Amino acid sequence: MLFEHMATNYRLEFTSLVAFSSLWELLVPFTRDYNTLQEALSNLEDYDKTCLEAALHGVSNVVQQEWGHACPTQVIYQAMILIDLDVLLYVLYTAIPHQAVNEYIKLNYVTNCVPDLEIVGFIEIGDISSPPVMSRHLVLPIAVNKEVDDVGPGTTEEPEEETSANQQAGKVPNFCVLLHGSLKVEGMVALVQLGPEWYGMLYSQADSKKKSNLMMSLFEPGPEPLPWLGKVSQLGPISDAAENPYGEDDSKSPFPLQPKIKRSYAQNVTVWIKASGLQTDVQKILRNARKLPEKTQTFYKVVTRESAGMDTLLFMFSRLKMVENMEVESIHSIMDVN
Amino acid sequence: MKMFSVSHKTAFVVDHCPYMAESSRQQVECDVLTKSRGQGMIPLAPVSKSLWTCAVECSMEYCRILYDVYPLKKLINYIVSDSEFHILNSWRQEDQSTHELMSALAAVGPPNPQEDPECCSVLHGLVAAVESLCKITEYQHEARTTLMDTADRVANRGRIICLTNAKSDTHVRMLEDCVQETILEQNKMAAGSDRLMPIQQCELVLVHIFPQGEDTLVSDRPKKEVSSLLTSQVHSVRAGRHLATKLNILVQQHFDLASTTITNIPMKEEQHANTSANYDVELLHHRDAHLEFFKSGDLHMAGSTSRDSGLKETVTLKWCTPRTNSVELHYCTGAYRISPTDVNSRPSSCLTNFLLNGRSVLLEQPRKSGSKVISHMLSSHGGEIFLHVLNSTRSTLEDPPSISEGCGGRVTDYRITDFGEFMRENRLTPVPESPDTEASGKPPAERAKAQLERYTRYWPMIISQTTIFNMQAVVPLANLIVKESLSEEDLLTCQKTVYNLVDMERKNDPLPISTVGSRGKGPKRDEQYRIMWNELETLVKTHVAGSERHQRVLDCIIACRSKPPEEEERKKRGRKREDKEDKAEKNINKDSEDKSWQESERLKGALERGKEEQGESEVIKDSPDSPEPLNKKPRLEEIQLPEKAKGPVSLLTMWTNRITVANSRKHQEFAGRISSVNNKAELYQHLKDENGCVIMYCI
Repeated sequence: MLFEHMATNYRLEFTSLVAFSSLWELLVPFTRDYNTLQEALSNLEDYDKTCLEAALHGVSNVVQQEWGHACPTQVIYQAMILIDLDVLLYVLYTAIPHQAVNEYIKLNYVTNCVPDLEIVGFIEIGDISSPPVMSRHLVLPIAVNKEVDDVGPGTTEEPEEETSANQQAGKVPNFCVLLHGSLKVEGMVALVQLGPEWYGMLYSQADSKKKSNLMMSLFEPGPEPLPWLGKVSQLGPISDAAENPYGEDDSKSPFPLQPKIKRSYAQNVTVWIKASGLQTDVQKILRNARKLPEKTQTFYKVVTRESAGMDTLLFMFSRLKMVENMEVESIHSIMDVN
Repeated sequence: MKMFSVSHKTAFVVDHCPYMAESSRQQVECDVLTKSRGQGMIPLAPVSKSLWTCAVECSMEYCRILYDVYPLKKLINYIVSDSEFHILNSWRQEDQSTHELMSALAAVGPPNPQEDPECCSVLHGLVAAVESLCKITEYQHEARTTLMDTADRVANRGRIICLTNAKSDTHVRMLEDCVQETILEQNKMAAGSDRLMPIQQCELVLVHIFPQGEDTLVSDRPKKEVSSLLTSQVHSVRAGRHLATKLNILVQQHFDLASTTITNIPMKEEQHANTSANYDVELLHHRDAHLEFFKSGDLHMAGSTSRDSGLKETVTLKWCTPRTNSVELHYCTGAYRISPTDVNSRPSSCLTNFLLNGRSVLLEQPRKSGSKVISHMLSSHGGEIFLHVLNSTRSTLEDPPSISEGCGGRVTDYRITDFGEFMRENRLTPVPESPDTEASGKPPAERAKAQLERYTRYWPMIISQTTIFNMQAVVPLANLIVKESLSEEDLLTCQKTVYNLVDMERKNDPLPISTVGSRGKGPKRDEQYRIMWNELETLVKTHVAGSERHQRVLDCIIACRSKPPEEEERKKRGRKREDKEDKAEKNINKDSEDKSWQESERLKGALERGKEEQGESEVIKDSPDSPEPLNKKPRLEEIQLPEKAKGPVSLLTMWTNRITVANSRKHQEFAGRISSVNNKAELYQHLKDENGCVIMYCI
């Protein structure tokens, strides 16, 4: 009965069947084939006793192996069906709740705690650049009432009205389809806000050459989910800027934001823990010293660049022999040249 | 849960006493530098670093890795101790950089062997470190101020890493006791201060450094509890590379780091440009980047190798040469900053430079089954390199229906290009935070949303639904009217656009009206213009609340289009009427709109002045009859403004109507609220509906 309901309403959900008593067993791995599930259910035999704990462990294993660790963020539905009055046998089914966000949003329509999805603005795919996300969702357009349609779409919200006339619905313009098309053509994403300090993005994803979809990915909640965008609350319309930050011909971009201090690999740091590091740096100076006095400028440049580390570390040597030698070396070099 | 862990604050205490000037006895060969010299040169003798140099180098390496992986909120306070303590930086975020510390260390200089050993001790530094841990950081301060009532959730914990040369185990115990006592003392003082906080937990890590070739006088000891406030551990390490390895392990333990080795990186040889050899580069990053391996039990299969007798593990991932530079969105579940273990080595700097230049590299993970899968990606964003974790497990989104199969999927004339243009105009840009912008009200993101709302108040989705957006002539007005405020110049441009349209109408220029759905040639020319004017009015009306100038644009439109509909009416059914009758009727009915007529005439006059005589004659030619009574078919039937409603209207009603209209344009009512009974709505009604369409599917 349950599966029939699901097969009708949630064709795209994945369901697996796990039977348990003192042990647990995966009867059907995650599938969309409800017939297989039905069949497996009718073939179930009775077992000795009920042990829910073991089953939950089992379910956790199954989910993790199949979908990876990113999935536990989603609730696992459980249902217990009493099949026989004589023998207590529980059947546990798990489904990945596809419509979790939908429910979340719908819930909030009623409780009015959190407003619905709002588009903040648009960003190029290259600028948002494969951001880490906590979940992905498929966004399916639903038909909007004709009256509402005439007013024109409110871009800041998803249509929520439903109609049974699905065949007609294909011909009624839908904002999701328009948005998807433009995002795809322009190579952009729409930055959306789900709640206070919770953001995500809408984008077009191609499954194959023919099929493509509107998707929504959610970032970790927080004011600054991506360091290279900075605080989302500080992202404003380009019309606010004195000069178009993208350039008149789209030749530049205000993203990514540069950190105030460069990382060690992006600057010249002095690390002499390994002998090679020290040797390379000293060699650089000697090489330039040999070219004195012609290349005085280059020599100074190298010395200045290296000096930050040199000054700090040279003095640390307990023996000054090397420095003495270097001086001798430099004098020799100058003399050689002359 | 308490905020701020032990790793929020790290105090380094480095011994600067005369005995630290002693040689580490690890020699650095220098003669290799001078192979190319001529004869007669004095050969360079090998040098060796002092214990102090080793301690400084290795602690700086610890800081470098830490700052690379955690540029914010993990703070270091560097203290040097001899006859007194020298604090080289503060907890402040801007003091947190290796460059800052290096300069400060240069000023300190090497230990002075002539200094009186009796006055010198690492104790001064340890006492200073405890005092320092009591000082609150800007982050702790901010958290305390924002949390207010629950400010006790802000913890004050920290770690002291002491690099010294201890005399014996007894000496070590003495140091521990000293730290314990100081904590108790300082906690008493901190209790009464605003800028200080008592230490709730302190982790003391003593690293005893001794020269190579000597036996240690201090024994290694794992972490033990000295008191409820203090734990202590002792590491006895030989100076030189052993110390470097030890601190590398410590930074990983202290900050939850893990190691990944990228193998098979092809690099051109300097000598032989045609050949390339494969290199390995080791990177450190947060250990969550390996979470998938831990969970799936694939860790050891993923090429994990133990080195240094099991103390350090690294996961091996294989370099996949990037094929294209194409931009695509990968499904990425995490991104973690990296730091190369050996930052200046040639393979490391080649890899990091490659990435910093904007290329991304996919990484392949060998699996239990022997199959291979792309599990990670290296990519830089703004000069920072991140290890991205890519989703490599099965997706719940197998074979989703294409968007073209769903609602609205069969419509073919969406204004895709126009919406793309709209998106480009509504791209975001970071706005620097400044006190000025805060004072001016809305944060930038709210202004961006407000702009989106304005731009989309009237935005037809398909080409056949609109006339004005298919007309080049309307562009100047359409671009300006959505602005928050209009300048006098903008207003003029809008008015010019309207006059231009009037002109077009007079010349009978064709309009790009869609013929879709209508038989034959579609609507007649005058009907086309009526549709166009209606649409233009609808657009402008959604913005009239914006400013007085927006209102004047609308006034201009109403005024300028006022004649054509009369002509229409007249053509349709006014021909039989008597002129006088009409005139009389018109005068009666037009009273309420006199004002707008006057305005109309004024504007027309202004327009006419600039027109050729031909235009004038056209108007006359086109209007042989007098105008049709207006009450038969009000021109603004569907879009009548509240002000124009018949009978006396109170200001309040006008205002409320206006606000209601404006608000209803901005949003659709929640489905739940529309269908609610006594403000209660049934949830998930679609469960019952067989054809129910679900908006979102979650993976």
